[in-house]
Amino acid sequence: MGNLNLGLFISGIVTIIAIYGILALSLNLKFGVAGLIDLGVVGYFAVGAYAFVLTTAPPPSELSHYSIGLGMPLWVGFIAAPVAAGLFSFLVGLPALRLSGEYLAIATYAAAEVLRAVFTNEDWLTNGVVGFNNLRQPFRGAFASGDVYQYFFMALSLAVLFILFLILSRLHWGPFGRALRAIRENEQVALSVGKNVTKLRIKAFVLGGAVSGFAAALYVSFATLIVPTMFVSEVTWTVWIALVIGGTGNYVGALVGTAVLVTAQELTRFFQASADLASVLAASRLIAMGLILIVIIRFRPRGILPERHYVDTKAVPVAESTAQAVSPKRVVE
Amino acid sequence: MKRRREFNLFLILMLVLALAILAGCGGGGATTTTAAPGTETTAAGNESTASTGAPSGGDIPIGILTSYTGEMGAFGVPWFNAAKMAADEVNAAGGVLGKQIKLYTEDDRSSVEEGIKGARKLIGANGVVAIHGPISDILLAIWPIAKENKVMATSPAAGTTKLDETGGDYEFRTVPSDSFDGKVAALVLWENGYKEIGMIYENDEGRQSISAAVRKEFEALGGKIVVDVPFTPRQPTYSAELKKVASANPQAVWLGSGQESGAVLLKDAKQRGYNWKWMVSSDLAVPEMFDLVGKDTLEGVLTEMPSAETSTPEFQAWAKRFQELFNAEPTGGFQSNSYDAIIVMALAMEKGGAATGEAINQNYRDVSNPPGEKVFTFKDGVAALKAGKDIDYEGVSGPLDFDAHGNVTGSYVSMIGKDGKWTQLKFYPASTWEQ
Repeated sequence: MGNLNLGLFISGIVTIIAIYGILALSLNLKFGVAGLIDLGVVGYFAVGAYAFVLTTAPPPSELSHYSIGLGMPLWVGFIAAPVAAGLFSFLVGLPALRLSGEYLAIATYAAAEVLRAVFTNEDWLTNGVVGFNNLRQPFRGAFASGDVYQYFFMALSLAVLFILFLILSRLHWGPFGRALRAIRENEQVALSVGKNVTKLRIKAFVLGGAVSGFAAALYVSFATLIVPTMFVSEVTWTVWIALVIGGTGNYVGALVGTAVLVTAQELTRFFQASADLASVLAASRLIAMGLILIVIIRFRPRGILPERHYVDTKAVPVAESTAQAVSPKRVVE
Repeated sequence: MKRRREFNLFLILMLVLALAILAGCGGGGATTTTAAPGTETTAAGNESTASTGAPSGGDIPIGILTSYTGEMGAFGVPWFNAAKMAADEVNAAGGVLGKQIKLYTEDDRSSVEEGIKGARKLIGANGVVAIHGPISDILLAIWPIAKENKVMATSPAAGTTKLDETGGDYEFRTVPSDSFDGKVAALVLWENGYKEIGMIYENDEGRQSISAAVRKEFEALGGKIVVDVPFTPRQPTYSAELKKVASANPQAVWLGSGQESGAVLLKDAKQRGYNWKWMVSSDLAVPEMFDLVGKDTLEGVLTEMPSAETSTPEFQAWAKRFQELFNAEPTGGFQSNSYDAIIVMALAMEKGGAATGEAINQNYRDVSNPPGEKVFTFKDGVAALKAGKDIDYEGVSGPLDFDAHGNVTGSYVSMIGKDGKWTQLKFYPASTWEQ
């Protein structure tokens, strides 16, 4: 009974995959390519989201606490989001990128947590915990039917994802990507050939942040509301898991990982038996995710689609795979 | 080479740890659920379990989207149980238009994103006519999707004031809006003879909207707010804020806060010798407060809280049935509100003659608001409807009279701290607000 509308369900999943896919691309640039452990993914995402909302929201009424609502067209928001996210990345990256590895991870994680506290408490800016709802959606007016619009929004998200994917892939195989990989593999060597390590890292960091700004603009348009609780560290973990499953260093892998992760999570919805078990199942869903992660790392430690190398890794022993740069056997490209 | 491996090891550890923490949160929710005996034959479930009775002409799918895990994880199962109890009673009474209600449920994990995904699944894959159960933020997030698909969105507990003036179309709530809390607080203060009060409250959504309501109502009554101090919760001391309040010399002070901050603040004030008359928000109207701050501090302190008319025989009988079914107290957790929502929807579909969200949306006010014959159960309601009468469903959570925006007015009690207990001062029936 009832009117089934599987399109609504599926378009929702694909949209979520596209949005998280963009975040995975961004993280792949930062971690997969540049080797920067960034646990603050949700931070730039949140900045982008609030930038989008504040530029496009109507001016405050007497009941709201926020003081900025520029009420500009949505396309301005779509520009403001990546700009603000990139800017915030720059501010975080400037001091944090002097740290290496684990220290960078902790610093970025802390930055994202602090940011959430700021968004929760600074009413005048973000309307605090009340947030904003009833947000406008791009091109909504052009569609009479909500159903058709869901497909349009899905297509829009996929288009943004695709464009960002093309740009990042192009950078990956160009001098910029090559320099980043060189720094990742051996900072000293990169330095010795005259690469400005800090500058390149900041560039990667800011570009990655800006990319997640696009995801943020889509995300709040999809949700039609914004509250600080949407930006918890779970977002960061989801993106990380997606990237590790898919394959770090490979943009296609990042997208595959996201698709696998989200689809697997959504499929578990159909295994529920009863509501009494729902709470148990919801918890076990996360445990299952952990198991998938462990299995992937055990049997495909480099992810479903590992990073493509300039050098054929099959020709050299795996344990020395990173030594390939010094002893190339067969050049692939 | 070594660095890379360290990276990976670190990464795996972090991710597994993060998942363990998340699963732990989920587990926390799970342990607070009371195992419900006899629910194996639950009406919920996708393919596995059928509802009791032979469905004729198919089932009516209703989705319960609520928090089984996450911050609000403790509420999911009680709300589902109450909804299931209602669905079972409807089905036992012959169902709606000869069809059985079938419940599907999704965990929103207390998160907006999961709520949206869950709602899309319920609407898209289960074809539900209504989604019941989410908290404020999630209700606001799923409402546009529900409305577009002609699916009713309802909540037993979403108090957000954002829906006060905008809800009602494919949305209703069986709990009074937070703004009533403020109205009650202002009225209680006024009736106790205070003309000039101060306000001090936690800086969060609920408390802010309540404080705005206190101000509005108190000033409308003719009183004056002499000082207004919001504060950041979880501070070690509140002396600066209290000093600010003291400088205005109010007769009484309204305090809106959670238990943790409220306890610290009240103790601080006592130590500093500020002997104002306190009126505290309903979050503090729990017995545990006396353990936290001591009974001396709370002696003579006023408070209020939403309360069903628990003295009525209908409520008592219902509470007994709930207790027997689920071996859990049906009070203090919006169970009666959850139960009522399902009954109202069932009656609305019966009246509309169609098992659709549209029928619920068009008729939910008709079947629960006066005029009409007062009915207390689904069975009586259907009988009256079949006899061609207009009905007014009186819920176990209150009279359930919806305004144009899908809000109900609730009944409240005012209480005063006395000898280590909250003692009832006065009962404010829902009719207090009908002006």
